[in-house]
Amino acid sequence: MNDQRPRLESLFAAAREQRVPAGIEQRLRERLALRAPRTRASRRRLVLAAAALVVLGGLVGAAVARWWRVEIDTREQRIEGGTLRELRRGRDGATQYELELPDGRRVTVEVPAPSNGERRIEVELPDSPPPRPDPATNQDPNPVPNPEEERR
Amino acid sequence: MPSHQESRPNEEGGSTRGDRRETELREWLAFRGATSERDALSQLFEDHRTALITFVFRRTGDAALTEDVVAETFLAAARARANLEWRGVPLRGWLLRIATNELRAQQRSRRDGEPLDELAAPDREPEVDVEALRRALATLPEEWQEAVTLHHLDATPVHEVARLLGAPEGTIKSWLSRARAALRGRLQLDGEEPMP
Repeated sequence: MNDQRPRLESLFAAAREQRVPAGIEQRLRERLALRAPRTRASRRRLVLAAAALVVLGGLVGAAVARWWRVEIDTREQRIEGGTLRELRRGRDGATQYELELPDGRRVTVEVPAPSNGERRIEVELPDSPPPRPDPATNQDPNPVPNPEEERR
Repeated sequence: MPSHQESRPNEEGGSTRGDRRETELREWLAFRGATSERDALSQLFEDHRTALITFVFRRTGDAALTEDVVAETFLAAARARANLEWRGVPLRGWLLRIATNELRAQQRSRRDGEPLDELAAPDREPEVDVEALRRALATLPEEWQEAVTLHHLDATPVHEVARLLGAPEGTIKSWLSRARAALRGRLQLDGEEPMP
């Protein structure tokens, strides 16, 4: 028996001490086409990216809305105290307007293309808006009954 | 593989054997119930990758071979999930067995080692190091290889080895003892013992 030879237990210990090479796990994940689980850092990056996207979308949306309002305002015409806004003009010459009456009622009007130089427009007005307080007395025309005041 | 066993308190901890078996059964059911092979693979990989990689690398010492064996083990397990039957063995034990079979197949196909002949050559002074240990280990019966790998090379307690391999603790101890004797014989270490 050779005393210089390692004992079996020391061979086991040497085998246990061998480190598993790094990278096997990642290569396996790629090979099996498995997505890496999200770490806390990657989740934070994802949330930040989503927040940035929302902010950017808001800014772009506000800019577009502002541009749109300016476009509409340039097409406004005042008629008999009301306002007529051009909403859309079709290729066939028909135009869609929004008519806002002085009392606040609004109605969308589709005006067809001129035929024989004549334009007939029929507008069906919406129901009257609820009565507003009298500006002179500031009293509600349909006051809610107050039992205490009635007793007095 | 053992049959179902009755639940009785585990003296080593607060949980009972029944609790543990229920957990293992739940894991099996979740695995079998995976809606797709991708889901099953994902579950196996997240829960067992480290154990499988360590188990195979301890036996081979070869990163590329370990990668091949573990990948094929996971794929084979995910494909076979529909035909599984619960036999009281944890999912990890089943995976270890697949890995052992896969390792044997890979080693056969590679034909890169005939360690037994080299080691047994009488006119050659055997090289006694970890590689020699692995080559000698590969000549033993597979159950012994699994037990030695888990217990001696991965420091898994005997009762846990018994649970994973689905054998009684006494049997595991017997395998380990006989495997050590065989390894001493193969490696011509102290206390040389004949092969069982």
